[in-house]
Amino acid sequence: MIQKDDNELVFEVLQGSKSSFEILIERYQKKIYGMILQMTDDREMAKDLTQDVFVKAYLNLPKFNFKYRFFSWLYRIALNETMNCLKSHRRFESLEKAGNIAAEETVQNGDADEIRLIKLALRDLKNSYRSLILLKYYFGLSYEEISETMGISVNKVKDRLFNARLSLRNALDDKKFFDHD
Amino acid sequence: MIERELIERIHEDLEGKLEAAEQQKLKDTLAGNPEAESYYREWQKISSVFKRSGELSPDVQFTKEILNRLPMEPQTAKKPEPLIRPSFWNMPAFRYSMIFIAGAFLGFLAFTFLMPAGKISKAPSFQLKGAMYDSRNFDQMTTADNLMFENAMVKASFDVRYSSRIVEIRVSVSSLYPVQGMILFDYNSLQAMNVVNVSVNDQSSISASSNFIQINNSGNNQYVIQLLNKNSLPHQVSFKILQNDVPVYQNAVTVNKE
Repeated sequence: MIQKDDNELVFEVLQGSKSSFEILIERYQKKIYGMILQMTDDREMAKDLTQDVFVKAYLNLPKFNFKYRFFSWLYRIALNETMNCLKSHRRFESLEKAGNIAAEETVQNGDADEIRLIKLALRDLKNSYRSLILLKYYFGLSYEEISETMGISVNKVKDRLFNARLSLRNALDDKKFFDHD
Repeated sequence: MIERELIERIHEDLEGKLEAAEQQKLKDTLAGNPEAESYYREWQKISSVFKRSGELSPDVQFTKEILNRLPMEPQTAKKPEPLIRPSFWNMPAFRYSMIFIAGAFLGFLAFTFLMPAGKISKAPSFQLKGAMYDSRNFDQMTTADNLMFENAMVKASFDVRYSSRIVEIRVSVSSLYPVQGMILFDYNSLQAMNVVNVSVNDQSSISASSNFIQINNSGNNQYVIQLLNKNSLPHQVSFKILQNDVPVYQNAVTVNKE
C-alpha cells in the first residue's frame, strides 16, 4: 500500500478527516516525544508536551502553508512549546535523577555511559544550541530542513551550528567523554 | 586552531556528502594535521552515540489521548482575508442602491431616446476567497488541455490540469469591456474549493455556486481555481465566454482521462 505523503494527509484533515490526522500522529509522535525528552529529560513533561504539540498542530492546521514541509512545521511547534515550558519550569533535573534515567538505559545498552554524558553536555548548552544539535544529530535534518523548522536562513543555521558544535565539544571534553576510548 | 573550512569539510564527510576524490583529499589533509585528525575522531564518536541514542528512543502510544483532546467538529480550511482589499463598490448595500439609481436614471433616458443599459447582474451565490494549495505538493498533475480564445474584444486562456485530488484551472482574461466567463461542472464529480485572484483589478470579480464559477472581467486579470476531484471517473468541465450576455465562445475539457 502506497503511503500518502504528509501534505496529502493534511489536505484530507482540512476536508474533515480525523483518521488522516491519526496517521500523522502515528508517524511523528515517537520522534517528537524523543526530541522533547532530550530537551527536558523529564518523561512526564515530555508526554504532556507531546500531546500539547499535536493538539496545537491540529488547531492551527488551517493556517498551515503547503509551501513548507509538514514535519518542519510540527518540529517548530514542538521546539517552541518546549522552550516556553523550560523557561517557566526548573531547567535541570538533579544528577541523581539523571543517574536513574541512565540506570534504566544500562539495562538496555552497554553504551549508556556515553549517552548519559552526551545528555549532561547538552544541558550545558543554551536552548538554541541544544535544539540545533538535536535537530542535526538526533533527527538527522539537513541545513535546509533546519532552516525551515527554525525559521532562519540556511547561512544562519550553518553559523549557529558551527558555534553549537564548539560548545558541545567543549562540554563533552570537560566531562572526559573523549577519554572513554 | 583548525580552519573553519576544514571543519566544514570534516562534517560533510561524516554526513556522507563528499565524493570519493574529495574524501581522499580530506584523508590526506588529516594525515598531516593531528589536531584536525583528533577533531574528526571526536565527531565520529559523537555522531555515532547520537545515532545509538536515537534508536533507544522509547516506543510511545499517545494517539488515543491526543484524539480525545481534539475538538468534536472537524477542521476545515480557514478562508483568509481576500488578496484584494474589497472596494467600496463591493459592499452590497452601496452596490444595490447605486444599481437602482443608475437603473432608474437609464430608464428615464430610455424614454428620451437612449437604449437601456445591460441587465443587472445576478448576485453571485457566494464569494470564494480561499488560499490556494500549492499543487506541486500533490501527486503528479496531468495536463488535460489548454484552451485559448481571441477576438477583437477579448482574449482568454484556460490551462486545465488535474490529479487524483484536485482539478486546477489557471485562467487569464484580457478584455476591453466587461465580459463574463463561466466554468461549469457536475456537482457530483467536482466541487469548487479555492480561488486565488493572482492579479485582479477592482472592476473584476469571481464567485461560485455549487456547479459553476462565474468570472466578471474587465481589463487584464489572472485567476487560479481549484476544484475538489471527488472521484476518478472521467468528467467534463465546460467553459463559456459571454459578451453582453451573448455566448462568443464555448468549449469543454475532460479530466480524469485515464
